[in-house]
Amino acid sequence: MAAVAQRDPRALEAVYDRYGSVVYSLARRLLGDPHRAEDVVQDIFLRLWDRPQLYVASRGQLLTWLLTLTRNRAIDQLRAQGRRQRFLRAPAGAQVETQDPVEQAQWALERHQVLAALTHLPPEQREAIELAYFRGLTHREIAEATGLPLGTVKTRIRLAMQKLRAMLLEED
Amino acid sequence: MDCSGARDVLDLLALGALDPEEAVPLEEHLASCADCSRYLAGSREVAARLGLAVPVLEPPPRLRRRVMAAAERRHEARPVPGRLAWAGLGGLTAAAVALSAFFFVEWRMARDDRDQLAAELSHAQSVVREHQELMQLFTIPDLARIPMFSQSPELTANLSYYWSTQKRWGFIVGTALPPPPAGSTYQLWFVSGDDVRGVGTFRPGEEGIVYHAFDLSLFPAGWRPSAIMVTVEPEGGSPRPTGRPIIVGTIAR
Repeated sequence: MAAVAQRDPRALEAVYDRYGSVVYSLARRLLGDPHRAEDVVQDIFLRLWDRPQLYVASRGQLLTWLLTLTRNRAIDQLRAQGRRQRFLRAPAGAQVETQDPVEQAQWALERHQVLAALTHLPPEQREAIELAYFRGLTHREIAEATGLPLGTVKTRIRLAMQKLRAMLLEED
Repeated sequence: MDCSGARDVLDLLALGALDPEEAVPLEEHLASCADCSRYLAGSREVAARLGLAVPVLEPPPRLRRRVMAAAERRHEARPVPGRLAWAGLGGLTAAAVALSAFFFVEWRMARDDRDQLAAELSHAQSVVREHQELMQLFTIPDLARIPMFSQSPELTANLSYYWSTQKRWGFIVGTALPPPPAGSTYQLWFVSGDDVRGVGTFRPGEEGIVYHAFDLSLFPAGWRPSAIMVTVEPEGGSPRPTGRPIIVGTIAR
């Protein structure tokens, strides 16, 4: 990251090669449309290039920072395009696995951990997380979409996050 | 709001599932509570890792080239004082509107992260200082504005071209220009009869805001085009226009 801050294009290339596929995959999953996903990826990496100081290393991994920005940007686009379409499932697209075997193995491991954690959630809690994170719905919108009381939605999300936290984070 | 109330909704905030008006009292509590701020950081880490649950797809190779080309262009354009300016249709008022839109987008991107917001603010202050200096360029006596007009009702972009023959540079500025199709870019051209010369390529920034400066020192000092136009070209630009003009402006003699 120091090299990115020094405006070294090779450093940006290295960050892209390391995280580009994960960032693209999330944007593609959230938006469905490959062209819009590409626009989001470009925005995210140019943001890093323009203002590397926005990434504060002490606050977490670069990957989670990039994923957070990607998710926020994609959800902003979904919200801008209207709520109705967000209920439609994003097309899966071509499932072409990344070619770098080391990277493939690493992401597979990380992905396995997250999927395993999600699998351990009761279905109703998993659905609440799915609607909030991947569809970008607020808890009120989830309540409207599912017909559940607002308090139930909040409780499901809170319980789900507590379990995910216990499974994914190493905390004292 | 106390810690108990905050813990009820911090996970919603981390997931982006809280309505904006509900976030205000929470933000006030977080400003004075280190424990809840730590808890929120953990929730955000969990939320971010959910993004790893999607199958990994290989992005198209052109995307890497596109990102790096755009980064290079910004790298080249950024440090030269006086070459990049903000203005808008009608001058400073529109420039202020464009700046406001820019800062709004920047703020929204960083909305859940106080540290990021502080860094944004610091950067925004430096941008304002930079642009206050650049605004002085508008006092250049020979600065000319050429309004540009969309050639289709679907395209509602408002663009203007400013140039100074004295300074040998010009810039295009405006709003509401959509991103070009994937693998393509916008290209600005000077036209003088059958003589069509490329000025440079550009892309809109966030929210369709355009601000891009062009070095005109390579054009002959006495040569003056009669019109300017914008076409959509393959990434990297073309030696000759391959698409029809989508935005044009005429230059008064």
